[in-house]
Amino acid sequence: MTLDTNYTIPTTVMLQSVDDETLLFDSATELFFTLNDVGAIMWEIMSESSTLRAVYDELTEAYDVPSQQLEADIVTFATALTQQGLIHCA
Amino acid sequence: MLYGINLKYLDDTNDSSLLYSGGDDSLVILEDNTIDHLSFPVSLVYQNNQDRQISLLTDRDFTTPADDQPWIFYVENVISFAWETKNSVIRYRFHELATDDIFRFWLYHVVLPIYLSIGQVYRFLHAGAVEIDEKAILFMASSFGGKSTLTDYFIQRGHPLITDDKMATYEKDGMYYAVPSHPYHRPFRTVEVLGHLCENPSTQVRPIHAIYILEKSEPDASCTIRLLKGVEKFARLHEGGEMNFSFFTPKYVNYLAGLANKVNVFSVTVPHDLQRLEEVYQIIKEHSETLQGKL
Repeated sequence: MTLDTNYTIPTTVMLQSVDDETLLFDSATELFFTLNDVGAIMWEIMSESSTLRAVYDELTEAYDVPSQQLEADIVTFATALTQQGLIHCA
Repeated sequence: MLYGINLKYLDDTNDSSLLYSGGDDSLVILEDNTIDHLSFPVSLVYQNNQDRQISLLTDRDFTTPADDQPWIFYVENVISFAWETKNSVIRYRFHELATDDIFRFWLYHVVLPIYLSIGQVYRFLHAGAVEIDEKAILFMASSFGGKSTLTDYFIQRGHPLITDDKMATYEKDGMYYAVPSHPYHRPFRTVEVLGHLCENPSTQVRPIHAIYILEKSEPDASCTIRLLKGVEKFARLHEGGEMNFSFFTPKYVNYLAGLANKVNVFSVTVPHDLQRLEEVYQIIKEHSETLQGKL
């Protein structure tokens, strides 16, 4: 997986916020996944894009993070989402 | 009034003048021996319930129910119910094993919640509920988790029964409300039994004050109450979902998240000892009475 990999989000996956926590719920599997603050921001950007490049570009502008570290974190996050079926990669 | 609705029973289906044309908040229940469960090709639910084979049928594949979409709820060899999504008429047909009591059991406990869920009148939770100081207190639990037993104990202590098992709720202006279902209570889950007629049923819609999720524990365990937050709270509420049809799942999930953000939800360890029910009763009652606002 790279920043330019295309992905789609299944319609069964929903983002919810309860109290101060954010979660993803997949109605197909009925499983919940907790997102930390950074994961929630990544997901919000991902839900309006189709490649991870958009996440990288926005977070580069917003945070002072080494570019290689940021890219690795985004790819790791997306890989975890893929493994749980929360996004589908082309 | 059941589930906030007046029921009108009409007997003569051959008299077209009796066919209901709407105009008030009543729901008409009438016999119709032309209902044919074999006429609908799409079966959404087919399972065992009350030791009967039941099915929920409609005439089309769909993503969202249409207002005029017809439905049949069929209990094999017992009874059929038919209605349209937004129509204020439910028709029924007795089959060979039907009796008046069995008819009322299926109508009150099962068909009305299905009808009201598909019509998006209410969202249901699998919960028992009573009033404490004119507020709704809900009890949720896994199967055989003590929900009915505790609900029954509160009734015996004079608290009005809101619901035995299926909690009709709705949201209005950011508040969540509990609607009294029917006055019957089944502390022992005998199949197809309507239940005891409660002498003191709730008659008014009440705001949902708190939800207590019962955790059965060892007989000598302490009865403790713990506030649930965030994902854990949402997950526990979701476990207690009721009438969550697949075609409404996104809306239902949004509704539960809204409920979770507005209502206090607690986990209660309940000792598995009937002799300690009074202790559990007192702890929950006092806890709910001192509870003010969202924690």
